[in-house]
Amino acid sequence: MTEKAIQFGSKNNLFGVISEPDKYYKRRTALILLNTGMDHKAGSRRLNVKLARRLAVQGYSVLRFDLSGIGDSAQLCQGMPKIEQVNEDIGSAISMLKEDFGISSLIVYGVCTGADFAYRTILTRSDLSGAILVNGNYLPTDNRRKYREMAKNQYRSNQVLHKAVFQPFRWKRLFTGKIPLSAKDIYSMARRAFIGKPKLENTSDSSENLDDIVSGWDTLHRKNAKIEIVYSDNDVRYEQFKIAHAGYLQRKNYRNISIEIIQRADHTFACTEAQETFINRVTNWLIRNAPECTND
Amino acid sequence: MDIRSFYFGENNNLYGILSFPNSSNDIGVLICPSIADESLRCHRTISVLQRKIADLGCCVFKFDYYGCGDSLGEYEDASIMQWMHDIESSVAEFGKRASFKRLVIIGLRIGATFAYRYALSKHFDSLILIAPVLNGKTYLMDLRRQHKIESITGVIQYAKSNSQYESLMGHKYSKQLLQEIEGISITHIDSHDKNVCILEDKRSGGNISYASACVRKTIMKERFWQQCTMYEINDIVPYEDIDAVVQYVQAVI
Repeated sequence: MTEKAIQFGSKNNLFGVISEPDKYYKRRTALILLNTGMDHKAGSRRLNVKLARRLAVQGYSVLRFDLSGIGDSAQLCQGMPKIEQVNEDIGSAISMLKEDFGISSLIVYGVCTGADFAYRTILTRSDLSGAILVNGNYLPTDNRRKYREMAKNQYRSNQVLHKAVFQPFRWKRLFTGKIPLSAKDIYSMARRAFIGKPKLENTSDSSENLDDIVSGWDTLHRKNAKIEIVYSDNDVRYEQFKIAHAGYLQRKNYRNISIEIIQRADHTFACTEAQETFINRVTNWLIRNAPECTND
Repeated sequence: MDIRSFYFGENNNLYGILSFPNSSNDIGVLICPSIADESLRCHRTISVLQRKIADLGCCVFKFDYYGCGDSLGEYEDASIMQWMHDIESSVAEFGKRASFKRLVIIGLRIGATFAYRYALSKHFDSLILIAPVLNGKTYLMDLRRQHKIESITGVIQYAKSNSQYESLMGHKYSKQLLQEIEGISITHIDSHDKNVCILEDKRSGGNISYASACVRKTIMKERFWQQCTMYEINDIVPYEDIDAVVQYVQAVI
């Protein structure tokens, strides 16, 4: 496995690193790893680096790069809608991988906002064969806030209270002073857990725009794109996904779309054991769905 | 401005980005970033700082330590001894690739501590220390406290630690690295008859003495290298703080 620093884009403004497998064991498919939210190309907790290296050892070429205005990449066009800019950047990455590295099959990967970008990109582009979407929400901007609030309430009751209230060891640790919390810390935690925006009692109105929201999955099914949706069980976006998408996808049971849940994981996989589980799952999915080698 | 990224050092194991200004003023600026989670949160800040200083006419080089960011290696295999060696490699590489007469070193957080240590025995012209870590035990205590708070509030999950590693905020710290960090204890900052500027945050202080020639400024309104409580997002670029650093570099020029 080797790593190489690369620059591409219309004015060489995009910075990336490509992890390449050994020449004698190279697979046809390459991956493009997008930024996790505003984190730079190494990824939150260096997850992109760890994933890229593991996949390169398994024979996949992996490009991780900073989108315009994130990390090391400069923003050239001010005022351009973000999704258009992202699409253009991914287009530059695809052209570079095809021309300079002779890659024909590409899968895009993203975590958090990166997953939303990956989802929206694969809906519109024909040169991507699949996507790995991790902890995204895949909602139109106008609906996002509503679902976020609904999910937050769900999340608070499901996760925070269960964790903090029903696990005696947490109380024990708090009262024995093993968790040195100041009054300010306790206030800030209580605020996060209990004082939120007004609770949305009625969840049935979420169905009014559901057809528009879930139609994207139908499009991806028609395109026969290979889609892996991954969620951390302890992520608020998982609640959001369950409210907006999960029921529909279960009913449709599309064969090209699979869903994986990583246990004991949070939004950015801060737990090192969860990182390992996540990387293993993604690697296994790729080996099942894109196993072809260049010399096959 | 021309910006280039490349791998360098022993076995090409370090990742660096070098900015060449349109017209050079013979000053080279090396940026020593922080490590682990702090380095992630500060990455964009450091990138913006690099561009702003390059706009002044300086060649600017920033790099990732071994096992950090885009450099090779794993965090659990890293040590402070290795990272000090990385600074030496970076200065050497910077000298090879860019021509400058005066070297300014900027360090952020524990990167500032490393930069100060480097400056104790090597050549430099100016040193800018941004919120340096002066006591390793306090630094680790803060890190462990932050990890515990985030795990009790459900933001992150507890990770198992074993006899070899301790998991903190998603990074594995080897016992050796923990010991090295614990050993950091700076009680006096000397100027070595050079320009030394310390940019502190409001909560800095303690029993530290400074050489009279050192310039001290309190600039940080918020600890931008940690999760900011006053902002929803944690990847802010604190332009006012960056501008303070840029102004100091300008003064040095």
